[in-house]
Amino acid sequence: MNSNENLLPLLPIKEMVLFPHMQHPLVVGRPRSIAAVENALLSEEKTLIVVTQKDSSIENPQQEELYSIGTRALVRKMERLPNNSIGLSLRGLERVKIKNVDFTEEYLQANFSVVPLPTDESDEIEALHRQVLEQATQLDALMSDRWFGGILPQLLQSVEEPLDHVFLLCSVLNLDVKQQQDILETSSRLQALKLMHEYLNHEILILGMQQDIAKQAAANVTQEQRQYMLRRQLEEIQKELGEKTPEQAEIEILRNKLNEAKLPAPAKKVANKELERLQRLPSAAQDYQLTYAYLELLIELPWKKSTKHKLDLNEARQILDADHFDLEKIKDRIIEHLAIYKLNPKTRGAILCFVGGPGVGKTSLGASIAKALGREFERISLGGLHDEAELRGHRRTYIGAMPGRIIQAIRRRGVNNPLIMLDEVDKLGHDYRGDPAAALMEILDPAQNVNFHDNYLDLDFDLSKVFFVATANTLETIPRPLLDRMEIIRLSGYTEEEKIEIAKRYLVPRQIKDVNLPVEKIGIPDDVLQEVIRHYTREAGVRELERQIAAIVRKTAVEFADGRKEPVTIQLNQLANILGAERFSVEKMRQNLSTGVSIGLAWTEAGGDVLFIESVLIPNGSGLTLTGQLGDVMKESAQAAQSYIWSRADALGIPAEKFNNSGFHIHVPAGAIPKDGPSAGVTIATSLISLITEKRVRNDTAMTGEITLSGLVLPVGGIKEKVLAARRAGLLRIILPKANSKDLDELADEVRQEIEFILVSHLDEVFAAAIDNQ
Amino acid sequence: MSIPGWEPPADIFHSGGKWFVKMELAGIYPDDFSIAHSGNKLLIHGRRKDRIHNKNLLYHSMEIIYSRFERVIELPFVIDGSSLCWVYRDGMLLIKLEQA
Repeated sequence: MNSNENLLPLLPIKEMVLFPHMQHPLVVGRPRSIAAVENALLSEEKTLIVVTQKDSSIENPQQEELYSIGTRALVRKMERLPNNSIGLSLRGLERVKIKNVDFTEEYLQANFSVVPLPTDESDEIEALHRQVLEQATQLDALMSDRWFGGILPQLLQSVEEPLDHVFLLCSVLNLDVKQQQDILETSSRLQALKLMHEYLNHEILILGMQQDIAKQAAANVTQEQRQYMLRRQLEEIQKELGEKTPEQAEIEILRNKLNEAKLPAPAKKVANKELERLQRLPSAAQDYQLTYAYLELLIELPWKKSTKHKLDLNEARQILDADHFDLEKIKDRIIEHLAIYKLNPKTRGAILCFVGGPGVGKTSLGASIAKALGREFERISLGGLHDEAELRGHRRTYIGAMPGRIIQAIRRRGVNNPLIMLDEVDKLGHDYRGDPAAALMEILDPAQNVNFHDNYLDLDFDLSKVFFVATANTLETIPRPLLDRMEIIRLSGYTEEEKIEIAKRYLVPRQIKDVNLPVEKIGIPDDVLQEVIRHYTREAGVRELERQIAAIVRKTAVEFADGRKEPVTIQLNQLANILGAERFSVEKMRQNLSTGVSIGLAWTEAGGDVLFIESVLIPNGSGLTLTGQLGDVMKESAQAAQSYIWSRADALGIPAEKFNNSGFHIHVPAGAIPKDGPSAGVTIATSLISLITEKRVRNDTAMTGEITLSGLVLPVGGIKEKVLAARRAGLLRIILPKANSKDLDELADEVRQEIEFILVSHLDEVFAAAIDNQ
Repeated sequence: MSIPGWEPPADIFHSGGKWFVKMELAGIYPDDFSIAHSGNKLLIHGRRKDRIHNKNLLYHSMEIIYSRFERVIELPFVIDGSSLCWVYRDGMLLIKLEQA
């Protein structure tokens, strides 16, 4: 053959090796490979070179990525497959060495020389050959479930040549490309047989293990079945011998607990009945679980268990003082309540209800009382509760029924005399499912709660030993009958000084402890606290203040985390960096009030506020226009103010034509906030007088009070909050109804000293004090 | 020596002491095959070359096997070499032979 004849199309294949003498089907998909096949078919003899890729992930291999030993193969059959690939039937003809690969055409071409297969002979080869055939038979027995199981010996009989046997076995075994290529490249039959012997050994070992594992798995299954059978037999035997099943043991435990639990007679009767029922139920029945849970509740409820009363009034006072700053009046009131309770534990005094803005310490007062009394403390939030069943429980006939919150709380605490705090009673809702407020009445009424009936429990439980405390932000939304059963204790807001004191004593140390630093490491001086209170919070309580302090402490803690050792003191000028720009500016006095503008005081849920009432004259108009989301009561008091002034026009020196020919408009900003109540009466009247007499109202004077048509000034509520708001705004004169003078006692001394109070009983006195006569 | 790519099918029959081996060997030029004998074995080998093609063809499918073929036929007697003769007609090879 000349060198030209030794150039044939080259077909690289993946993940298999084509051996000489072996026939193999193959699907070819790569465009270059298809071109190689197509060109091979254009030759007289339809042969090509097949060689295996070293790495099957490569799409277009270079020469060094192909093995150099391959096989010249005859294309015996070719057909086009639907997906543009072609199916081949190849027969390996002879082993070749690839000298050079030509990449210039659209397909690969190989320059090759034939490497004849070895033909060495020896006794060792004969021995190994027999051994390999022996192993193949063994393997075949192990593989009997595979497709070639059973036919391998037949296949092997069809040829005689040892190498052909080796090649044939290669296609049967799970060999990787490298192992197969080693066989193809073998330099002697001995070496090929040795390799095959090794591979077969390994394969037989693996298959043997596989079968062992499969056998073990099968054995496990039968083991489980056996255990099941044995258990069933055991149950039967136990039945026969009168012994206990697990369910019976469970019931036995329940029975023992029940005997120890000291239930009252009616509860005991019900419990025994349920226990009887439980015994008859199969453990898989749904009722079994329900009955079981019910019995557990009966057993766990503290029917007779209570904590020992500890009522040392001095100690109670100390605890209250330690936990809360100031609030003297409130603490006195609590101590009185406790004193009565001490003298006669049977008296069922009213339920305490703390009313005040958010963050004034209502909930923590409750916790302090519990501590003072040595009782367990449990808080139930009633906010948004609108289903009576939440309090009273669902009847057990309902799926997923549970006892009500009260019974749950008592079960959780494990005593029948805890202190239960009913938070946010003013936010109870009610709808078609019933009115929880009505259920609360039964719970809170000392005459009824001895026999509190929970729907789930379906038995009376004595709540009379429970100490109930309620909290609310406002009294307006609490139903009257419920309100009657409670003793109201108001917690009005704190003054700036009080807030600073609270911050120093409680909030700052608490926040510093929270970041796990010694308290003395971060110092927040009074002037900084004052700045935070004034410009970063606006509230009656101290909740937002605590949040801001937490922010300061957090930001400072970063320095300590970075390794700082010496203490830090926060400076006033750092505040803007730490907390950002000021959130609130104190209501600045309007420097020059124009005529018709007066300063009023309002009471809101969050404390007090200052508001300005503006009125203008509308030439050629008529009547009275009121804007600013005013409620009916406020509109009526505006009309009363107008009527009073008009009726006394002469005495006040007002020309009649002024209001005969014009209309009036009164506006109360901020326009989006609803306002109501009679307490702005004097402010509206003052605004109108100022407008008509064209004299300004003093810009340092705020006022509040209800008026009558005859000009009397009647007392109003929320004096403390209003005074604090005025002080915050820098207003130092306040006109108040004389009848409110008793409220001034509640104010701190420094407030009373700082502010000039003008107590009035008639509108004329208001005008005299408020209108600037200069 | 490479192994054959295919084995042509053959019929064997005899009549009055004469034996015939008929082989389907279409598309083979007389120069491209040879017949040999040894003892009771008859060896026919050669090549089928695809001469009906040019470089512009594109195969759609292929079933005819080309390249080297070889067939060893064992007869129940020792062959008399001098009696052996053959005729190739219509793609069929007919070999006549006699017992030695």
